[in-house]
Amino acid sequence: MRADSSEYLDTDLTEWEIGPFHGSLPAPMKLRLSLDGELIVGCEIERGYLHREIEKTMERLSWDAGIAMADRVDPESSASSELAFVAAVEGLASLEISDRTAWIRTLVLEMNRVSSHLGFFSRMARSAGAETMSQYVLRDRERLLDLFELMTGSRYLYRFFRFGGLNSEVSDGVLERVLTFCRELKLRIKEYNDLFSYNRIFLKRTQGVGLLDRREAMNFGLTGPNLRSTGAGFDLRVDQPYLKYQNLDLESIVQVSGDCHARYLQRLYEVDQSLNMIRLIVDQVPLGGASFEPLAKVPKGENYAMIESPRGLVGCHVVSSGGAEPVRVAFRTGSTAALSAIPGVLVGYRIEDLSVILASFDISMAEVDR
Amino acid sequence: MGTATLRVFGIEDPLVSFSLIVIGILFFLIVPGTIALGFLDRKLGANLQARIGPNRTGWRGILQPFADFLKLSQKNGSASFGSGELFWMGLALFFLFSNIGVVPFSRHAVLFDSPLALMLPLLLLLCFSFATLLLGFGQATVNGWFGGIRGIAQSVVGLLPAMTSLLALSLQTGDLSWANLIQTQSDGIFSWNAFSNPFLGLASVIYLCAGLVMLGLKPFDVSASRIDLHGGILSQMYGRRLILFRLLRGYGFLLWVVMTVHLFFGGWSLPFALDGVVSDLGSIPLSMAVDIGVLGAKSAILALFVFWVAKVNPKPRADQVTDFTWKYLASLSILNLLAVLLWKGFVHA
Repeated sequence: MRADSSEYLDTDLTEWEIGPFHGSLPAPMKLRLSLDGELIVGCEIERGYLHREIEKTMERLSWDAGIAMADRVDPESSASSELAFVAAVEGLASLEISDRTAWIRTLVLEMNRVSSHLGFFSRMARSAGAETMSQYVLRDRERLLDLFELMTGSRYLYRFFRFGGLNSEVSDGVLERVLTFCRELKLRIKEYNDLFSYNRIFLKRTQGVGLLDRREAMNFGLTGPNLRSTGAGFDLRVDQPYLKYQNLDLESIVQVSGDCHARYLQRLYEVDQSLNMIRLIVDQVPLGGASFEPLAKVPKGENYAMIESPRGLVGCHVVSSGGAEPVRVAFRTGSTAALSAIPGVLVGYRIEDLSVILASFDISMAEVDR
Repeated sequence: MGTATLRVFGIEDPLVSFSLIVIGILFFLIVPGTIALGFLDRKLGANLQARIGPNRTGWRGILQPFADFLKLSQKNGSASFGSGELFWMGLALFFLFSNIGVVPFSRHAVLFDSPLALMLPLLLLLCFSFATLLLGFGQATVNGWFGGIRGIAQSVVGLLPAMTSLLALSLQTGDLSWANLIQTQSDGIFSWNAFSNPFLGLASVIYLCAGLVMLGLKPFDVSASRIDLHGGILSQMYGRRLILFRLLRGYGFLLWVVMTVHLFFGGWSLPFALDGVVSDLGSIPLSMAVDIGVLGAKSAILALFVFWVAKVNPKPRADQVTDFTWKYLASLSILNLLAVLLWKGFVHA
């Protein structure tokens, strides 16, 4: 729980700088903490350790080559950033995609969501000291990564979406394996719940910790599971459906307490929802082609596309002058807003809560720094 | 009694006998026991986590502790020992190894006994926990400082329930001497203190948990937390210092587990009233070997249970550990003390 006034020691404050590499931190960044005993009374964040000049580099690459860079915005949920770029360019170039392409893209997005959230569970478990749960989740995620490798050729940076189509065909055998995996992971979710989700020690570490109310979350511009865990039910897949989401009878899942446990449960339920969607998608994928034509030039103009990624909204703004390279590519990512909320959330909690709170927001510094 | 044993080997001088027994216990029981526990911890943890664990060094990785020893012994950090660090490490070594003489490992090697003998390991381990954890306090880093503060807090809160459980035990045995303890538990499994009185069964759990809190061991090792303190009191330990520190902590854990087995689970007593058979074996070394084997097996089972609970569950925060110990363990231990008294009165009536 956030410390009340009686717990503050009113001592001289200790300034403690941690990072850029530290066990509490989810990724390279620096935190300057002001501590009153073990209580955090102030926090400043220094970012930029994973800045790779992705957006600038994309201005020098062809449109097709830019897809590989778009992957690298967030390697763990690369399908979302990749699709945001591809969709923005397709809109600018007025390219239509086939029905099968749309279904397969929806499938890959949801599989990527499951993969990203499994990684979240592993980090969340490790932050609370539950190494066993962390290893179990990673074991299950390995199987999903193997499916990605079978389908797209790589475990993480897929480079699977192309302008107007897909990089390769997906066979029925792969879809059957995906269905089998979904059935087995459903059983695993129950195992996770028995082992971890309602474990008394985990509840004490997460309930009432890292509170963020709905108004604050909206003021900071949070999106995705971080926002929905505060009770605000905005989900782009439901409110502004794209691809085939309108065919999937989707409902927005929300939690209301806004603490670390709510953020954990939010993602747990979203995994369950994604598994249900994957089964529906596999049943409905039509026969047909998903080929593409290479895109040399894109007509002059600009476009913006948004995708609901596992970490919130990913938006891609593309500006073209009609040439073979983009004039400007800019990404808007969910983790950037989440990072801005962190200093306010941390105040009043203990050093040991730092790792749990940071893990619960599922921040990817790769997509913050780009 | 213990030194008389060595007359069998032609050693008459009691000081020489005492020294040989202590050295023997250190090199043939404590060090191998600590190494074995560390290896079992890694293997069991790996098994629980669907991993393989150490498997490259020797048969099924059994030589991994020796490989780690060789690796660490070749490393020495650039920072030399601070004077405070040396003092506290010396103090920790002194208090910890003082326990060797006061905890018997066989009926033929009870080196020291008195009406308060059972209290001595607890007090020595308390001093050890203070000394070891003040190592962190003396380090010039935030990590070590916080680790030391947490450790001291745990030591303070863990003492009361541990001592109260010991007092509850003394109500059953009459006093806190090894002779009475051994005598009380030598008649089969239902004479062991944990099973002869249901409230002493609870006292055994309280004693074990309180000891783990006091010593800052898993699952209550918040003073050495890797996640938020980069190891806490361990953060400045590397190379040869780390070997020594790990040996000290491993020995502390081994000692506490052995004490719990002695106090509540019959020590070297066999479960089917076979103690008479062991005593009548006619060979002191064989009898000692059986005693050490039985004590070791029981301690290993208890240690593996602790590892299992620690590996499977998340870690509580430092304030949650101290709250739990102070609010629940301490209160429960005091109520339990009264319950033991009432039970004994009821049974005798």
